[in-house]
Formats: sequence, C-alpha cells, structure tokens
Amino acid sequence: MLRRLSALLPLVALIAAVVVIAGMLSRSGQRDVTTGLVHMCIVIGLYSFIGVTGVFSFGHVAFVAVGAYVAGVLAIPALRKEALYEGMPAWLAGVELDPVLAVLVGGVAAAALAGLLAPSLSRISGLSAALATFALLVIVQVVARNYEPVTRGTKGMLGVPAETTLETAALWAIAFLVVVYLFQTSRVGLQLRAAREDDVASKAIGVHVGRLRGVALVLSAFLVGIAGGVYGQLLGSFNPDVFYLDLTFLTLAMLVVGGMRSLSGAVIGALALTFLSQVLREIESLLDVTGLTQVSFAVLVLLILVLRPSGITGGREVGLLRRWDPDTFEATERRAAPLDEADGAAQRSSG
Amino acid sequence: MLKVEGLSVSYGRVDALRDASLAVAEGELVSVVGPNGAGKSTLLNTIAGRRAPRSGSVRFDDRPIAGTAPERIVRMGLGLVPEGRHIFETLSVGENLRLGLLASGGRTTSAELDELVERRFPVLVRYLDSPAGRLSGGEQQQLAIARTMAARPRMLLLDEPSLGLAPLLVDQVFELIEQLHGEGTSILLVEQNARRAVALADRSYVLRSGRIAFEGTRDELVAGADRMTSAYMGG
Amino acid sequence: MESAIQLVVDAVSLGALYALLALGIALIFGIMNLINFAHGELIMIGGYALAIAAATVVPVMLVVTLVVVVIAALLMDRIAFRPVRGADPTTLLVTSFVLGYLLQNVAIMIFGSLPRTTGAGSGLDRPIDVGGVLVSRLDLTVIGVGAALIVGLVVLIRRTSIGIQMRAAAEDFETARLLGVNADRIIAFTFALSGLLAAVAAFFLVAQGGSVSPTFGVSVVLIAFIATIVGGLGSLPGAVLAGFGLGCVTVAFQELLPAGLVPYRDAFVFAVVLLVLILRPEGLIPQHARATRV
Repeated sequence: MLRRLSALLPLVALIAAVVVIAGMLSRSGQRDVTTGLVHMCIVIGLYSFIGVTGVFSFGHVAFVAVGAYVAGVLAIPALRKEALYEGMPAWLAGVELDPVLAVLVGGVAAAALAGLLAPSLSRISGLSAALATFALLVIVQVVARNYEPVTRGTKGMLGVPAETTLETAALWAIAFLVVVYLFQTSRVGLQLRAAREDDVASKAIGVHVGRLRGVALVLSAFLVGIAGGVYGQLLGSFNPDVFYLDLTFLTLAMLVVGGMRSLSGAVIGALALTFLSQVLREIESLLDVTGLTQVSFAVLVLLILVLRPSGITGGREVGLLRRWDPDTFEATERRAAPLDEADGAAQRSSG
Repeated sequence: MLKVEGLSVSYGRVDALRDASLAVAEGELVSVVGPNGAGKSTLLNTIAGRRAPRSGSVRFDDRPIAGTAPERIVRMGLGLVPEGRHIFETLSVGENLRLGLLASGGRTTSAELDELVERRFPVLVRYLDSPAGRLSGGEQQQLAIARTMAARPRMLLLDEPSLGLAPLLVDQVFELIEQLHGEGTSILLVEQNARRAVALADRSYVLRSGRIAFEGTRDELVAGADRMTSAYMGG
Repeated sequence: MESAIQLVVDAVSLGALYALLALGIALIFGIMNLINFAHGELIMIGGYALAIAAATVVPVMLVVTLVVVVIAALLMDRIAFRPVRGADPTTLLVTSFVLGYLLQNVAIMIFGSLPRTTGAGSGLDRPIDVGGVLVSRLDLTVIGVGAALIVGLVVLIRRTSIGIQMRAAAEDFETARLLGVNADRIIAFTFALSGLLAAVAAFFLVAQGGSVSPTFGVSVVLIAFIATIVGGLGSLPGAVLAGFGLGCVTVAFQELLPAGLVPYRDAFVFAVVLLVLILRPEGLIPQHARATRV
C-alpha cells in the first residue's frame, strides 16, 4: 500500500512547497493561503463524490455548513455559549470538546445527513440527483438562518476557537489526499468509476450503482464536513451566507478548472484559483469594483467548459508513475517497479 | 446528380470511410452493399449532413454540400431515411407525415400528400390519428419512407430499409423502392440484403472496411458474380 | 385560520405559479437536455425590468419587461449555450449554473446586493369579495393568467406546425433535422417561450413580494427543479401536475405547521419530495423510452 501511495508524492510535495513559500508571507498572506488549503480540502472531498461517481452535486457546501456549525458549537467553551447563545439547550451549552474531536464529530454529523438522503438520491437519475443536492443546499441554508438558539441565525456563530493554522490545514489536506486516493483505487471506487463511464454496462455486470453512490456520498460528506469544522475554526465566526452560493461556486470552479475527473485536478484547481483570487482582489481594490473576482471566475469557468471541459489536468493524474507510450502518445499508468530485485522478491514472498 | 469524391470520415481515431468515391446520375437506382461495419451508414449520414467528413467532397447538383446542416440539405431535395426507421413514436402517423410536408417548404400540398399516401402507402391511411409507436415494424418502415417522400426529394437515400423485417415485408419494401424508382426518383440504396439490392439497382458499389472495393452495372455484376463476392468477402 | 375557500385559492394560485416555473425548465430540457439554472436569473432580470419600468403605464411596463426577458433568453441561448450544445447533460447543467452565478454577480455590480423595493403590480393588492369571503385579487390573476398560458401552450404544441416540430425535436432531435426542422430556430423559439414564462413569473413574484434582488431567482428556480424532477424530467404534463401538487403541499404545510416551524416549511416540502422519489424515482409522468433497461 505504501508503494501505491507513493503516487501521491508529487501532490504532497506541491502542498509542502506551498506551506514553505507561505511561511515567507505576511500574516494576512498566510491566512489567505490557509484558507486556500481549507478550500482544497473541500474540493478534494467534493471530488471524491463528483469525480468518482460522475454525478454532479451542488449540495456539498451544505455538508460543509453542517460540519462547521456542529464542530463550532461543540468546540466553543461552555462559558461563552452561556453568554452568547440564548435559548441554546442546556445539554448542548454544557458540552465542550477538544477542537479536533469536535471537527470529527462535525464530519460524522454531515455523514449522517448524507446517510439520510442516500436512499433517495441513489435511486434517481444522475441529473435529478444533482438538482436534489441543490435543494439540500437551500434547505440547510434556511435552517441555519432560522435556528437561532444554536446557530444565532443570520447574526452568525461566534466564538469558535481559532485552532486552524497553516500547518494543520496542510496536514488535513494531505490526509484527505490519502483517504480519497485509497478510496478511488479501492474496489468500490473502481466500480464507481467504471459506472461513471458506462452506467448500463456496469449494471449489467452486477454493480449496484445506486448503493455505491450512496457510499461515495456519505464518505464525501464526512470529508467535507470535517473540512467545514476546520474552516469554522479558521474563521472563528461565520454566518450562514459563508456556506451558500459563493462557496459552492468557488469550490465547483476549482474542481472544474483543475479537472473534474482526477484527484490532481482538485489540488491544482484549488491552488490555481486561490492564487488567481489574490491577484483579482488586488485589481478589485485598485479599480474599486466589487464583484469583479466573482464575475471573472465565472467567465473563466465558462471558457473552460466551452474550450476544455476536462480542465487543466484533462482528467489525468499527475504522478511519477505515468509513462508515455511512444506508439500512441497515450499516457498509461504502470505499477511501481520494485526498487531492486531483492526488494521485489521479498514483497512477493510476503504478499 | 450526386457526386462523392475521396470522402474520408473518422469517428475520433477510427477511420470509418477512406477515400470513397461514387456517383448517382439523375433517375438512377444505385445500391451500396457490404458487410457489417463497412461504413455504409457513415456514407449516407455524411452525405445527408449528419457528419462532417475529414476530407473529400460531396456535390449535389454540382453544389458542394459536405458539412452543411441536415435541415438545409433536405430542402435542397436530398432526403435520408435513416437506419432503424426513427419515426416519432409520440406523434401520430399523420403528424409524422406532416413533418415531411413542412420539410418540403411548401412544394408538397396537403392534397398531394394525401394522394401519395393513398396510392403508395395505403396501409397507413387507417392509422393516421394513431400514435406512430403502435405500428408494426413493416408499417413503421413504410411511414419512414412516406414521411421523407412527403418532402418531395429529388433523390432518396435509404439506409437498410429491409433491416429487421419479415420476408414478406421485405418484398413489399423492395417493390415500393422499384415503384418509386419507376416514377423517376433517384435513389441511393444501402443494403445488407446484397442479392436483392444488386438485382434491383442500375449500378452497385461494394464497400468494405471503409473503401469502395468493387463497382459495376447490373450486367457487369451478373457476369462477374464471383469477383463481386470476393470483393464483398474480402478475398 | 383561513377559510377553506381562501386556502383552495392560495393552493391553486401557488400551484399555477409553480407550474409556470416548472414549464419554463421542462420546455428547454425536453428539447436539448439542458436544465437551465439561469432561468432564475431570467426571472431576476424580469424583476429588475419591472422595477425600472414601474414608473411608466402598466401596459408599457409589462411589454417592456416581456421584451427584455425574451431578448435575454435568446442571448443566453446564442452566446452561452450554443457553444456547448450536444455536450452531456452534466456539462450543460454546470454551464447554466455558472452562467446564473455570473448574471447574479453582474446584477450585484450594477444594482448592489440589497433588495430593491418596487410597487409594480401593487394594484392587485386589494382583495375581492367572493361569496362573503375575501380573496386576493393577485391570486385570482395568477390562476387566470396561468391557466390561459397553459392552455395556450397546449394548443401551440398540439395543433400548430411549430408545435409538431417542437415535439419531434424533443423526441429525436437528430432525426427531426433530417425532416427539415431547423435546429437553431426551434431552440431559439423554445428559449423565447421560456423567457415569456419567466417574465410572467417575475411579474407575479414582484407583485407578491414587493421587491427584487440579485439572488431573487435562486430559491424560485429551486421549486421549478423539484417540480421538474417529480413530474418526470422532460415531461410537460408532469411538470404542470407536479407544480400544482407542490403548490398544494406547500400551502398545506403553511397552514398545518406550528408557528415555530413555519420558516422550515420548504424543508418539509422537500422531505415529502424525497419520499415521493423513493417510491417513484422516475417521476409522476415519466418521459417514455428515455432510460435504457438493464
């Protein structure tokens, strides 16, 4: 398994490089990079559903929201909750969890919500499922805005311990990469990717596409729920609007621009757009035009969709283990070769 | 009337047609036969504008039409009856026919259509208001041809009209083709049923693996039957 | 507690509005497999046109709004969707989502993100007395106009030449072209129709809510999507039926939910929808022969 994971080295190196470079920036610069890394986590989680199943989802930011609010509520010190959150049920106000644990619980909560929806979503067509996820986004938004005792409604959640640093965000991103890579090369992942290419053929060989889709949904919700918890602990305070259309669009744009069909696409797209947004924000303040960033990104994504829908990576993975077939100029993946014969023999005999 | 020269068509990296050339003169019935996958449908589809060729030319009445939109080619007088009939099942038989009428751009009147149907496709008259999906395979084939004929094409492209039909119905279809030919419609017929197609046609081509392997008039083909067979089978 | 008559009128009028919204989506989907997220932005554009034109006489305001929205719809087709025509439904869906987002933010750049109040349609505020019960004039107008539009559409699609062409194109676009149906023209016509429906919906929404904002169309278009899914993707009668059904369910929840839960009304409607989908995933009136059986 370690050898399989070595395929991730280039991406991990990329993330490490980003952390090192960011270390040289100002504090606000570092904060922006950290935010970008958290976004990357969300996009990786998003990819684990969209990229693997081929079904589009507009609703994953709803899971991010659930993760953020649940993790937030659990991590806020009890005293602060008593002071700021009138009407919060006493048992909830009394709880105070370790921030990392809170984040994990947030992920579980998001996964539970996904589990509730999976039976319906797995039965309807991919297109209908995509629309249903949009409904989820709106519904969670409505709940967040109205459930004042816990979320403080539109005033926003306040007082979440700011635990997320540049390094922890990077570590989470790397952890996500490992999990998703293992998922997409697992049996379930491969079956889903086959079904993505040819729904009918997969069903004909007995792949329960609907059920597997549900699995992917729950896993991806868990991941983006964690990302939400981490995000909440970066922001410290947030209102429902943070988890609505802008974040949905941003993460989708990152995935589409990077390439929807590959894990590398998630990473590269996130990095590319984070960098681009920095540039655009400078221009925005120079020209005093609000909304320029969003409009520019939208135009960029539209151009990609028209000219190169498979994104920057073209659906291919970036890695040391790509070999170019000289006859057809097609890249083929090959298994890692043993470092030397003895090593290989040892692997085989112990395998 | 129709001149195809050096036509090459690819689907991605697969070459479906390589350097194919043929011609259909006014009033002729020309057939194209060949084994499965030879590229016969691709040929007709490209002529009708459904695909754009990689290279080569298609000229109708000496006007280049390769790559033109199918709806414009129909109006020029070139009608394709696609493989598998493709009638509109949710529309009634009458509405299917009316589409053909609309495609004629006013050249066919409603009365002329009625007369055409009564004379040549009488079996359809009963079903004019029924959904076309209710017709049998043979009736659907008749409808498909009638529909395209309603547009008054000067030349008809037929893609495997006998496909999937019982022998009696195959007879009916070939009879119909003969009648249409007799009335002066030029026809380019693509067929699996090589024997009947060649017997009926003024001239025939054999298409194999995307290339024209053989070409000849009815007499030439009767005389050189074994050469044609080996061209068909790939000797 | 509203009387039974008021509730029925509420339900039918909301249902009519939802049906019009769903039709706007279903028409375009039927013909080109595109779920137009940006339909919500067509409604938003209609809302702003109304707000700006409200200063003029009512007929002028209505005509201007209609023209503006239809032109916007045609431009949408020509500029944004024609280049991706023929792509798979997911790419089309994402394209329309991004387009919608783009238009929302352009509206923010122009008008700012705060809602803008307008008196358009406020003349319909005064209720009407029906057999001793006060009924909203606006509700009755929605029902009347909605019914007229639906009937008009039915006539158009079933009786006219262009209707036959639309149905043929919706069933089998490729073959329709072989029978002379002009691809560009039929799609443009469908977008224009969709724009008409959007403009009408915009008027009713603005008359009801009294204001418009850049994200005006977002939650509105959501209902349209849900109705389209429940009705069966691409099925026009299904969209209408589902629209009315959703309207009734929504009004029912509005009435029956305890006061604290009313803001979550739409969440309950959504839950009902999910249940329906579990029982009948292909929708109420599924499009025939679209799915391949395995």
